[in-house]
Order: sequence, then structure tokens, then C-alpha cells
Amino acid sequence: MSRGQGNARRAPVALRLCVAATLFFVITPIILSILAGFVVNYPTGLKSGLTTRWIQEVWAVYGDTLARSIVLAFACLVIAILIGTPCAYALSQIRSRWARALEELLMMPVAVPGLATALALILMYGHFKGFRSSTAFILVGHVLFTLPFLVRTLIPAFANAELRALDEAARTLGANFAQRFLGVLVPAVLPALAAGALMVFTLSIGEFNLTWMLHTPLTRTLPVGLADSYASMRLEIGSAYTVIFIAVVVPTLWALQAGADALQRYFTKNR
Amino acid sequence: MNPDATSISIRNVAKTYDDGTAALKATDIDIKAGEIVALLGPSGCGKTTLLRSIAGLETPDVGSEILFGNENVVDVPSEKRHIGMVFQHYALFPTMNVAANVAYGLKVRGVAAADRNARVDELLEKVRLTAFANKRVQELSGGQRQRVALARAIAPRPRVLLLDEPLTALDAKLKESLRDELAELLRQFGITAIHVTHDQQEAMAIADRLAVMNRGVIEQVADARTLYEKPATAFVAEFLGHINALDCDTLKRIGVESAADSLYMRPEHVRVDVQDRGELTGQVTRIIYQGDRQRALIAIDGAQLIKADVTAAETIRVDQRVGLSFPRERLFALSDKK
Repeated sequence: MSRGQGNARRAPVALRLCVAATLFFVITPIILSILAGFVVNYPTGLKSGLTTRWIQEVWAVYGDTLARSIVLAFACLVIAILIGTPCAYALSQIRSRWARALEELLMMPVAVPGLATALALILMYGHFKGFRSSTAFILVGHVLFTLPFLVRTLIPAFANAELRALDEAARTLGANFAQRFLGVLVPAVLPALAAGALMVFTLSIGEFNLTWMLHTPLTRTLPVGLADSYASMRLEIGSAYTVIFIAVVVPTLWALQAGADALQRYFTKNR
Repeated sequence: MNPDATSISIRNVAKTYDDGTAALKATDIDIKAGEIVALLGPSGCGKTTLLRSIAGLETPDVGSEILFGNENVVDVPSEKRHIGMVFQHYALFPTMNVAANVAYGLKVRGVAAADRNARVDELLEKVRLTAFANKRVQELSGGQRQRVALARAIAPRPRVLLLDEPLTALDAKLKESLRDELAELLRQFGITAIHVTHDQQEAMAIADRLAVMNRGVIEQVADARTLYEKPATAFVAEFLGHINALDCDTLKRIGVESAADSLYMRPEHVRVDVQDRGELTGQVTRIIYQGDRQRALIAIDGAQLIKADVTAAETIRVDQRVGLSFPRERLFALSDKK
């Protein structure tokens, strides 16, 4: 008998009903949207027949947004890790009032509407024309927005007492700061780093508010393209776009999640 | 003796926290090269603060001097002091296997891989963990982990080995066997070692000399026998076993003249005579059976209560009248009790 078939661990009926209702609530609109991407005429419904025409049209018009979004998300991930990891370590070590205030400040881009952040970025960088019209400009916005999530995930991991002992052990063994940081501290917080990284990637690839303000017609990302298509084209085109979005993002997230889980298992096994 | 071993002189080392609490008051102690010294005392006595100051993990007050040989290391960062340290909760690197943990101190100092591996093999053999070289540290038991931690600390041939409550996290049975193994290994290595513990049995088993600490002060430094038989202070006497304080009235009755108000004697040195013969007589008020012996609480007629040990085989019961004698050579005075 395979695992999990024993009756003893069954959840109560009410709970199972509740889960089923939630799933229905969450998934039905997605299924409808996917379906809409494949029907010839949505108002007529399935009777009008199925087609891949919409998918092909989206691919032709918006194909570039897909690649841009993925590259952007990975670039954002790399930069957030490079900036966020040392930043989180520093904040975890300084227990002063100023460090706490700085930490709060770091959370601002999450609380402030994306539009306001975007406006601030445009005010600051708008006159650098080349930069303003490049994807790098959007990247800055994404890093700003996602960084707090990574830093907030890493601070408790770095502040852990066990980690402090590891750092001291490495010191007594003769390791300088760089050796300790890269060889002992960062590997020890990898599970938290993986969780934070996943969040950064997810937020970046689906980010709309900021990006909508920062983009140009030549630097559209997937969510911005999606909005365009919904606003300016047939409902079926928008839905087909959703199909592509899901087809690309879901497997990517699954792969990242699997990687993060594997790390987590590796580091917590037999602890 | 190990040529890497250094002598250590602690001069005027103190630690006062920002809130004014003195964790350690100006302390001096000299440790010979190759000697094993235990810092022994209850929690909060300053022993860990002193050890961490020697390790460079704590910054002692201005004016403190910590000499490794002739070099004052007080301003040298921990990573440049060339020490080895064993922590209470092992602090093994969870992302590295056993061999990599032991190799770490050699690796960060740039020792070539071949030399490194040879040294790691040598040490894993010493601590009987050769078969575990490629195991992850999470797969080891507490005792094995602490042996890895010892091998890791010793591998880079440190000038001094610092042990911070190395056996405290282990269960009683394991603690005892690892204690004896540790004592044996430290002597094999011939290294200068400072061992912090609150457990006097452990300190006596491992160290050549014990420094008994209380409230940020070293009360006495001596070998175990001297500490037990000639304690300098009441704290030392009471921390290592029990004592009776014979007050001036009792002293007068047994014909002892003393400048001090009280003289002291350990319960096992008080002679009990069940036939009621002795310098003084009294009545047994309580008997505590302790396996290898019995401790009797005896009220001297019209005077104080005395703790005295009798053999486990002796027939003695509560309310029995007994005689007590106090061998003069076992009486001692304490400097801090006038």
C-alpha cells in the first residue's frame, strides 16, 4: 500500500469540503481563461470549435515579451541576491535603532503603490534617455520592489544563534571575513536564500504596476503585454496570452521550487 | 611536549559591560606551555568571559594583557591568534562533511591539499572517526560530533586549545567516557589547554590545575588535591564538596585554640563512634544513604549541627546517641572567613 492511504490520517469532512471549495474558487477562472484561449469564438462557446490561431497570433505579436520577462526575472534574481545577501547580513548584525529604521525603510517599496515608486524612478532617471528607454530601467524597478522580500527572509536566518557560533568557530580556525561569509555563512543560510530567491523571481515575472509605468513600447514585459492585449484586442487573444504565460511560468516556478526544496531537505536532514 | 604549545599569561584581564556589570574583575593567571588548566565555577562566574577573551571573541577592558609566550595578543583579532576552540554545541559546519570540517582550518590558511589530507587522516584516526570521514555531520551522535570538533580545532596545530563546556551537551554516561578520552587525547597532543566547566568531576579528570572562579574573580588556583584539602576560601571549600564550620563554642569544648572565629572540617573527616565515645557527644537527627556511604546529621548537645560520613555498612539510626572526634590535622582555616 502506498503512503497516505491510511484512514487514520484523513482530514475531517468539513475541512476537505473547505479545501475543495477553495480550489474550485481559485482554479475555475484559470480554467475558463485557458479554455477561452482555444475556442474560435468565446461568446458562442465550445460550439464554435477549437483553434490554436490565437496562440499563434500572440506568439507573433508578443513573443518578445516572454523572453524579456524571463531574462528580467533572472537578472533581478541575481542582482537582488548580490545586493540583498550582504545587506541582510549587515542588518542582522547591527542591533541598533538606526538599523531597525533602515530595515523599515527598505520595506517602503512594498507598501508604497508601484505607480508612486515608478514615478520616483522616472523623476530620478528620466533624463538619461538611453537608460530610460532600456529594459535595464525596468530592472532597477524590479530590484527595488523585490529586494525587501529577500532581505526580510534572510535577516532571521543570519541572526540565528547557531550561525553566530559557526562564525566564531570559523574565526578561531583562522578564517578571514570573506572566507567566513562565502564559505560558512552563506552556505548555512542557503535554504532561506532559496526561499527568498523564489519569491523574488515570482514577484518579478508577474510585476505589473511598476513595469506598466516604466516600460516603453519596445520594452514590454509579459504582464504588460497581457494588459495591452486585453485592452486592445479580442478576448480570445488575451486568454491565449494567459495560456502562454501559465505554460511558461508554472514549469519554471516548479523547477525553482523543486531546487529550493532539495536544498531545504539537504540542509535539514537529521538535524 | 608539543613544540606549538605556548605559555599563557593573563594580566589584569577584566570585562565590564556597557551597563556597568563586571562579568570579570581584574584577573591574573599563568599557564605553563603544555599545561591543562580548568576554569571551574558556577554559571555567571566569569569563566566563559575569560575564555572568550583569550579566544579574541570578547574584547576585555582597556589595560588587559593576554600574553601568548611573550606576545601580547589582546589587540590581535581572533582569526590571527592561532588558537583552537571547542564549543559546547559543537558548532560544526553543517554544509561540510566530517573530513571537510577537520580540514577547514588548514584550508583557510592555504595548506596544500596533500598535506591537508594527511593531517585530516591522522586526526580522524586519533579520534577514532576514520570510517566517518565522508559522513555528513548531521548523521553523527553528540559524542562523535564533539570528537570531530576536537579534531577540527587541533588540526591547524594551534598554540592553545580552548574548550568551552565541551561535554555539557552530552548525556551522563557518554560524558564520563568522553571525559576520560579527552583527558588522554589532550596529554597525547601535549597542547596548552584551557577548559571551562561547571562540573568539578570533569575538571578534576581532565585538568592539571583548576582555577575556581566566583563572581568574576579567581578564588584559588591549585591542583585538585590541594583545592579539596586546603581550600583557600569558603566558596572553594563548598564548591568542591561539603564542609562543617566549627564555631568558637565547639572549638573551645574540644580544646582547640584558634585566632579565627571558626575552623572547618569535611564531613568524611569527622570520626563518628556509635558506642557514644568521643570528644563530644550528640544525637543523630537525620541519615542520608548515599550508596557508598551514609551522611549523618548530628546535633551536638546544646550546640551546633555537624555533618559526618560513616560507612554504608555501619548500623546507625535516627535518635541514636553517638560520639564525635575531630582529627586536628584535618581542621583548616579559610582566609575569607575571619
